[in-house]
Formats: sequence, C-alpha cells, structure tokens
Amino acid sequence: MQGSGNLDLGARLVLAFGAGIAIYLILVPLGMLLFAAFRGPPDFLPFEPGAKWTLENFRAVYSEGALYSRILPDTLIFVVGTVTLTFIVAFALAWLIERTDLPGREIWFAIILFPLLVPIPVLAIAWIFLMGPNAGWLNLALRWATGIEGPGPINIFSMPGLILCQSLASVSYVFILLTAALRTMNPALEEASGASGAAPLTTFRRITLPVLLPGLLAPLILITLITAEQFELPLMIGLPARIIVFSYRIFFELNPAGGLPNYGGAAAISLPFIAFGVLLLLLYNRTIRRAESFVTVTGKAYRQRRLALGPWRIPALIFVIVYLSLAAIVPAIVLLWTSFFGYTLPTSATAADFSVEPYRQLFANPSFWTGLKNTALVAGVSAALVTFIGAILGWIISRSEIRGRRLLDFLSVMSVGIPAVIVALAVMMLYLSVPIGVYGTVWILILAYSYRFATTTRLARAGFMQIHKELEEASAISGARWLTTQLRVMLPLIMPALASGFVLLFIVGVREFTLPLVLYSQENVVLSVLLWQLFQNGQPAPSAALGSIIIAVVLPVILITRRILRAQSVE
Amino acid sequence: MLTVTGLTKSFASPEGPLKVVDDVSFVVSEAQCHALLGPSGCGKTTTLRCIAGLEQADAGSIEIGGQTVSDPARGIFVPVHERSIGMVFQSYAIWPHFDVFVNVAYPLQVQRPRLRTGEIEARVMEVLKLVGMDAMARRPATRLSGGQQQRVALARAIVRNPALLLLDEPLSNLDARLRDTMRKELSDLIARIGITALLVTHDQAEAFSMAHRLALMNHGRIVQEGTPREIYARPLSAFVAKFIGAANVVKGTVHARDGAMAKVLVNGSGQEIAVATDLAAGTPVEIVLRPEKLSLQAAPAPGSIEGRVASVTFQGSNIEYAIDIGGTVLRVTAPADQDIAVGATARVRIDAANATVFRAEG
Amino acid sequence: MKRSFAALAALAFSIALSLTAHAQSWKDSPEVKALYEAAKKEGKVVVWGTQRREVEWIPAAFSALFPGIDVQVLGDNEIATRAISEARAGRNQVDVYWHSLTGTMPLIQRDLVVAHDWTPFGVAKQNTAFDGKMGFTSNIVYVFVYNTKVLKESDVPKSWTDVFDPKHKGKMTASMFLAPRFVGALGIVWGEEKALQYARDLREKTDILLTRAPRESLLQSGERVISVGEIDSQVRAWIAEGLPIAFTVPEPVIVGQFGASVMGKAPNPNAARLMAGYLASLDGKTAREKATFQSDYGPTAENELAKRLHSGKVQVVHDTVQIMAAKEALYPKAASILTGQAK
Repeated sequence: MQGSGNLDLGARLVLAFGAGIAIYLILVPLGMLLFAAFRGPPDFLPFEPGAKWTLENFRAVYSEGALYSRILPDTLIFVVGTVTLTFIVAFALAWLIERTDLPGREIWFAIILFPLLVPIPVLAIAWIFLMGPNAGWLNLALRWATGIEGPGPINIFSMPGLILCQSLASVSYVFILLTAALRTMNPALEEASGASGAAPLTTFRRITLPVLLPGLLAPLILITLITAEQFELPLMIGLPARIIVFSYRIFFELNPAGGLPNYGGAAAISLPFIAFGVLLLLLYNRTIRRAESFVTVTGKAYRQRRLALGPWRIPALIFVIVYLSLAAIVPAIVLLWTSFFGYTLPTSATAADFSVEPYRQLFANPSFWTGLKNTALVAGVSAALVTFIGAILGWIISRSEIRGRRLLDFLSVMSVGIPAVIVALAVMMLYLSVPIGVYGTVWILILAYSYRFATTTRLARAGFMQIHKELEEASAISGARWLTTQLRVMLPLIMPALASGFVLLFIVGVREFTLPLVLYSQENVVLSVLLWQLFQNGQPAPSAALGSIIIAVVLPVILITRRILRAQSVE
Repeated sequence: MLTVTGLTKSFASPEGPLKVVDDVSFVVSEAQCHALLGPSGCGKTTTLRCIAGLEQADAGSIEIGGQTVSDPARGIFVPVHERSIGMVFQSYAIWPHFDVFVNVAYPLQVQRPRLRTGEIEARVMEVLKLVGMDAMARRPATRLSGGQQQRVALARAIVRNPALLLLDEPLSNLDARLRDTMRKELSDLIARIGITALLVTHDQAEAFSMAHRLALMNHGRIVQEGTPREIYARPLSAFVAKFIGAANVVKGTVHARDGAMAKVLVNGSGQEIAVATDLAAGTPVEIVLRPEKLSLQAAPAPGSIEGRVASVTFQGSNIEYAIDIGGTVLRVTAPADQDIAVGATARVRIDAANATVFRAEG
Repeated sequence: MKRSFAALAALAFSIALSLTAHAQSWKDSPEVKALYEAAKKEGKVVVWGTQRREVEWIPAAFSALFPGIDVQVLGDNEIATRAISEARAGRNQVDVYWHSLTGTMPLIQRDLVVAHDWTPFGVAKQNTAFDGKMGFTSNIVYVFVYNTKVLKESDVPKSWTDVFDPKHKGKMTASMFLAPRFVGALGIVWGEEKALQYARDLREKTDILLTRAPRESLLQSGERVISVGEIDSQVRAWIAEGLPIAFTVPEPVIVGQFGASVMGKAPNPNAARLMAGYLASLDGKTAREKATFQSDYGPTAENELAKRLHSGKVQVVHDTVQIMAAKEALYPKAASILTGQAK
C-alpha cells in the first residue's frame, strides 16, 4: 500500500482532482435528494419559499399498510428472482465467451450487448408480441403444436413473466462486468487443480468460484441495487398482474394528476435505496477483505486457455441463440420491421406497405444530425470522465492509505440509488443558480450524466486488486514517478476493466433520456430525446427507425472496444 | 515410465499453422529425472503440457506408467484429472484461498473413492515434513514467500504418489542464491522418494545438476539427447554447444588442409587456428572453444592466437579474461594467480583436441 | 320570382362575405397589426408545451401568418418544474406556456402568468379562464378504442358502465396512467363512492389489462381488442399511422381543457401576446387540429361533437377550475385501487 508519503506533487494533484470531481458530481444530486426528502408539502418545489421542513413524506410512504403486506414482498420476490436468473444466465454466457472455444464468440459478444441499446418500452413491446397470453406468437405456436386452448400457456403478465423480462434486460450489464472478471483469472490455478486429480466440476466449485468471488460480488451488488430501482418493466408487465414494486411509488409521486411532481415524496422513497446500497457495500467489503490478497496478475502475460467444448458445443450454441433470440434478435427484428412497415403486421403486410420514408425524413431533419453529434459527444465524454474518475477512486480505495477512502467507496455506490429525475432536478437547479454558463448546453448534460461512477469504481477496484503491488514498486524503484507508473505500468494492466466500464457507460449514456429530457434545449438535443419524443408522439415508424440507427451507430464502438480487449489479453 | 513417441502439435497463427512440437520422441525410465532443455519457444513447455493433458497433441502417443494416455490416431485421450501425475507450475499456482495444509491435501480430498480424514492428515503432514513446511501447515497461502510456495507446490505434486512428476521451470522464479539451494534440495528429494520426473527448463545449469538424462530442443525438435556429460563433451551442433556451456564461438573459413587437420582463418583477425576436421577448404565454419580449456601464455607459441586483454573479471577462484583477437572476443578462464592487466597483449593457447568444429549455420 | 331569387343570392353572398371578412378581420385589426410590428422588433418567441407533437407544428403555422419572428418550441412533461425553477433563478426563457388547466395551475398559483385581453384575437370570454390568464385552445375527450378487424361498432361498449358486459371480459386494456384520471372525473358526476366502486369492479370483474405498456401495440397484435379510456387526439394519430382501429365516445363524456398563457416575465412580451392570441384564435385552432388531431370542443366550436356536448342532452364532465380539486383528490385513491394496493 502506498502511504501518502510516497506520493509526489503530481500524484497528489491528479488524485485530488479526480476525487474532487467525483465528490462534486455526486454531492449535488445526493444533496438534493437528502434535502428534498425532508421538504413539503408536495405542491411546492423543495427549494421554494412555501416549502417547509417536514417528515410528512416519510410518514405518507411508510405508514401505508400496503407497503408491508404487498409492496415489500412483491419487491423482494421480484429482485431475488431477477438477480438469480440474471446472474446464472450472464455467468454462463460470460464463461462461454471468455473461457471456452465457442464458435462465433466475437459476434455473440456484440449481440449480447444489444438489449442495452434498445429502449425498454421497445423491448417490452417485443416481448408482449412474443408472449402475450392471447395473441403472443410463442403461445400461438404452442397452441397449434399441442392443441390446448388459449389464453396462454405462457402469460407474460405474471411474476415469472416479469422476472424473465427484467432478467433478459439486465443480463447484458452483468455480462460485461463478469467478462472483465473472468479475463483476469490465472488459468494455472485451474490447471493445477486438474493436475491434482480434480474433475472439472470440482475445479469449478472449489477453485474457480472462490477465487473469482470478488469479481462476482461487485456485479451482484450493483445489479441488485439496479433491479430494486427498476420501474419501467414492472409498470408495463407487472402492474397488469397486480405486482407492485417499491420503485413504482417513485413513478407515482412524479406523475401526479395535477400540479407538480412530488419530488419530496420521490426522494423519501429513494432514501432506503441509498441505505440499502450502503449496507450491501459494507457486506461486500467484509467478504472480500481476505480476497484483497488474492493477487493473480504477476506481470506475466496470461495464456488464456480455452476449454474445448467438444460435443457440448451444440447445447451451448443453442443456449446462446435462444437467449439472444429472446433478448436481442426478436426486439431488433420488431424494431426494424416497425421502422419500415409501421403498424402493419407481418401477417397482413404487402410490398406497398414498405417504406424508407421514416429514414429519409430522419436524415433530412437537422435535429437528427445535431442529436447524433451531441449524443456521441455527451456519451463519449461522460463515459471517459466517469472511467477516469472510477480509475482514480479505484486506486485510492485499493492501493492507498489515504484517509477517507472508505467514504469515497460509499459515495460511489450511492450513485446507483438516486432516481434520474432527482439528479436532473438537482443539476438544473445548480446551474440555474450559478453563473457558469452551461445551462442549455451539452456541457450540462455531460456533468449531469457523470455521477454514475459506481460501476467503474468497482471495476477499477477489482482490476487493481488483482495486480501485484510489486509491479508498482518495481516501477518506483526504477525511478518513475507515481504518474508515470500509473500510465505505463498500471494503466495497461487494468485496461480491460476500464474498457469494459467505458463501453457500458457509453451505451448507458446513449440510452439515457430522463436527464437530457429535463435539461433539454434545442442546442443540446440528443438522439434518445428525439426517440422518446417520436415514441410519445405515437409515430412508430420514425421512432423505430431512429432506434435502429442508434444501434447501428453504437455497434462499431462495441466492436472496437472488444478489439482492444482482445489485444490486451494474450491468447 | 514415460514413453513419448512422435509427439506433434501445431498452433494456429496468423501466418498459418505453426508446428510447435515436431515429432518428439523420448523415454524416461523409472525413478529417473529427465530434462527438456532449450531456449524459449522451442516447444518444451508445450510438450510438457501435452504429457500432462493440458493440451491435446495432434499426433503421436504418450504412455505413462504403461498406460496410453494420449494417441490421436487411435482416438485415445485421457483427461488431465485422470492421469497419474503431479505438476509443479512455473508460477506455483498455489491456491490463495486455502492454507498450506489444504493446498497440499487437495489432491487427496478430491480423490475417489474418498480417503479417511485421518489418512489424509497423516499423509499431508508426512509430505510437508519432507519439504520442510510442516511447521507452517496452517499458514494462509497468501503469506508465503516464493521459496515457501515452491515447496508447497512440490508437496502438493507428490502427495498422492503419482507415477510421474512434471516440473515446469520450477526454479526460474527464485532469486539466484535460493535457486542454488533449492536445486540441490529438489534433486535430493526427487531421488529420495524415487519418483519418475520430467523437468522443463531453459537453464543449462539446472538441467545438468538435476537430470540423469536430458534432451535439448530447438524449433520443436529434439536436437540431441543424452547424459549431461555426453552432451557437454560431444555436442552435435554449434547450437547445442552454444547452449550447453558458456562457449566461445569463433567464425572463420577453412583455409588449408593438412591431412586430418585444417587451418581455419578467423574472420576479422587474420590469424589461423589449427583444428581437426574433414570439412573442405573454403567452408565457412564455427569453432566452439570452452573457456576453461583455453590457457594464456606470455610468449608466442605454435597453436596460439594473439590478442589484447579487453576486460578482466574476478570470480573468486578464477579470473575470466576477455581477449580481443580481432573481430571476436574470446573468454578465457584462468587461475587467479595469473595476473594479466587490461590492455596487455596476451596469447591464447588453443588445443586442437578441445576445439569442436561445425559447419556454419545459415 | 327571379328578382327575389337574386336578392336572396345577394343576401347570401353578402353574409358569406361578411363572415369570411369577420374570420379574417382579427389579423387585420390595427391592434393586432401594431402588436405584430412590436413582436417583429423582438424577433423571437419561445413556446413550451406538454409534448413535442403538441408544439412542433407551431413555427411553420405561425410564420405563415406572421413571418419574421423566430419561433422556438419545447415539449416536455416537466415544463412546470422548469418554468418555476427558471423564474426563481431569474432566468426567464419562456414566453408562452401551453398546458391543461391543471397543468397551468402551479403557475397561476405562483403568479407567473399574466392576464391579457383576448378579444382582439376573436376569443370569446367564455373561452378563457383564470380571469384572462389562460386562453383555451383545444380539448380532449376520453374514448373507447377498438380493433376494427375483430369488432364492429355495435359490439363496442357505449357508456362507461357498458364495460361490465360479460362479452367484453378478458378483451380490454386500459392505461394505468389515464385510468385514475378518468375515474376521478367520473367521481364528479357519480360521487366518490360510486366511482371508487367502479374502479374496484373494473379491476376485479372484467379481467382488464391495466398497464403502462403502449396500448397501441396491444391492439395492433390483437392481444386485447378494446382499450378503455384513451385520448381522442392520440387515437386519431394512431389511425392516421395505419392502425386498424376506430373509437366511440362513451357517456358520461369526460373532457379535458388545454390553453395558452402568457408568462409574466416573458423575454418577448409582445411576441408572447401575439402567439398566445394566435393559438387561441380560430386560425390557431384549425392549424392545431390539422397537425395534432386535437380539436376544440368548446361552446363556440362548430363541429358535431362540440355541439352535442353543449346541447344539454348528453352527460358531460367539463374540465373547469371548480371541479379540479375534487378530481385530484380522487386520483390517488383510484390509483391505489386500480393497482391493487387497496381493496
């Protein structure tokens, strides 16, 4: 561990800068959250003169009986079910892609990330098309094959249906984090187990899983928090089945019948998420404390040995293809179809219904080009900024003895629990009040987006933990200053982790629409806002066309990042 | 105990399939220690991994303890965990989440049918004592030094009495002094338990001191096999000679012949060396001269070459001189009492009997 | 005979002339012309509305009548918060605010909009609210939508209580966003108790799919064939996009009111007045209807539905300031019942 004494001025500046930005970016929304939760009544904005300090928001939410009899149990089942299914599927996919010789790995990797790019309503529509109890295609096929009567047999509007859909939407995120973890595992540990006579399953159980534990726990915590926060799919698929999750209350508070959104109520409901996140982090720290010494990278390049699947190739491929069909391919087809055919169904479409007009209109629309440029800028810069912050924080937390580093860790995790609308409100208020002229520009969006550094901090921390300190020490002894060591020794070694984080954040940035919607101006329009507006307008073809274009644009970014990752690992 | 016949393995590369192991055959007898020696990339590690079962060979057969474990032509491949082997990895691969005891007990724990706990404990402690780690049985693996890890790795490899012990560059991660000590210990231990061992290394000293027989590999093929003494005394090619010992390699051309002898003009020197060879005049050659077989003289004499002392290195009991004879620097090891200064003229006496001549490669 | 015919024709002609003249006259009045000149000097006007679709037609339509002014629009759900926040920070960017009655209330309460005289724009006093702070532009009504490939109009429920007919069971869907709102409105004519019971029965007895998923997809795929309580302008837009649907207007008819207001601290006050007046004028209403399918069902409107609504023969829940509070009070209770949180 580097004590503060070993850090030269350059190091201190960089670290202070990174930590400073991080604290600033997150304290603004966090502060607003804490503030708003205790302000009421609802018909005043939290900072208006008529608002007062009050506990009414809490009382209103937590004294409701339904909370304990319906909402908490529903939420618990939903979260546990989703996280379990997501994790199993994501781990299997990550394993197959990173540690076996599954054919077509690179293509699968790119397609697995698709669902991250598709707006959730579009995903939901595709799944309803597939699994709606009355007219879902899967159901029609099953009924035809088995002769049983409808509705069903598959009913998407149910708890299992909701869990399935949420998992399909979440696997991509966990997948990326798990591939980062798997890539840093020393294969010799598993080979030694084989050479000691342990069958592959025993090796997996006794060696692979325990050593991977830190890398597995981080995504587990993050996805648990994120799932608990979800409300889009629960609203569309859960509500019809009377499933009420906790986050639904947030949506409800923000969409009242009249007057203003109840930010105070929404904030009061969000606080438990923050507390929950902090709790999980404490648990995580305790569990992996021993694992901090599981150093696996010793500076020698790893030859990633890939398991030969042999006859298991076929079932593995089937698994991957079935998952991809449900999660990515069918939604993508629905998207493409809608972009060319609008509301016309495949069963009744004719050649005359085909039209490229939506695309043509999009390309002719100057907002589209502005949006494209802005999206690339905002998503790219904020992803880079957050990756940078994550790396700095990761280093501080895992490699230094700087005081207060635990606090940084908790701050980073709290960012997951803050609803985007609160963040938007906070950012809007801040930059309206201060004379920095970012309001209405792309810069306010970049600043707003960049509070989500939970993921990159975790990734960087895990990456650093796996690098033997001798590598840093050797560089220092050779006379290199801290910054040089980081850039020339550490950075290349944690590049896989950082690259994964960057890709994830870039995609999330492209997809984000709550923040840019609230902070919208003609100048800072981004594609996701355009998409949302077209979608709300009830114009299916243009919004589907835009959705398809967005995917087509982000795909190269994914492939390039994948290439960087492959170049980093020695095969 | 180990019979390898015609082992071949290729890897895919951007330029096409690369033959990393090319028709390798050798036999290791019971209780013998055999070494595969060679520069990096020569295929020795891949050969080892094929024997272990961590790689699948493309062709050739591998027999361990009388049982064929690999033969692609006959469709035989016994997976790694079913082979009677123990392996010490280059990085030791000590499991960080176990302590010393569990690391060593692991092979016994995963064995089916199960052994009794008492049996396991007894055997583990026995082996730990053998490697001198019994006092640290409960220490977490993450708190072991390099040397300690190596011992644990060894203990783990032998705990279930495998038919074959495989060692992948076992000493390369240790510092020089530890290496010397461990070399002796390892060698003694292997002899004591009487296990058949195959060692892979790039360090000639290691191979020489530990192995009964060794095979020198280059570009995937075995270029020479034999006991250390045989190979040292009679290298079959300049490559072998260069690899085996600190050797002087003098390049030159055969100038004149005189019966069984020939005079070789040394490149860039203008001087000649008399050697025994039947290569024709005009042939470019490489002459291998062992430093300890050369001696320095004050006065000119037949069969000696003149040069200037470029550097003097004190090595304790010897002095190593670097003599610049024009175009080449010869290393000569001489007793410490002979004291010649840098810059002085010296004459190197070359005994034709100690000069091995090879046709120049490439 | 010929003479009286000619006289009749002349009369008809002059009436027609005077009518069109009247319709055109507000733009030519000296007051409006002076306002236009002042607005041109300001050069810009910013309009905020609830959704992009509701405002994106305005620049072209407005500039056709009043060229030379740069029109910028913004359509977003959070404009109330934005307007209030910006006003508080002293950064006033918006000139004209377009929203429903309830959506404009927060600004009214904070004195952020000003009253002005709407008569130069041909807007009758009954088409304004809040003492002239808002000028009505359009209305929406709640409708029942059905898939025309599967159902005939005779099969579709005609009134809100018709939904309980067993033949509709399992075939209906409704928006979880809109349902509490129409229940709230029904409470005005039926009383709270009956309305909440209606919500309960809807949930329990009809197997209705209450969801936030886009109902047009559900209708398109045939997953459900009737949607209960959609916004008429939205439905017309779906029909224009090719969805095989039609709609009926159930009784009691629930009406929503939308209008434009001028911001007190508008950066371009003259342009703001001109724009607001335009939006509330007949020209503005016609252009809006054409672009967004949102019509005017006010007392002075000429279309059939408007006439029916004001004929006194149909039970209507008009959107007025008086009933706003009562409707809003019912909304959370209705939502609670519909989502199954409460009994």
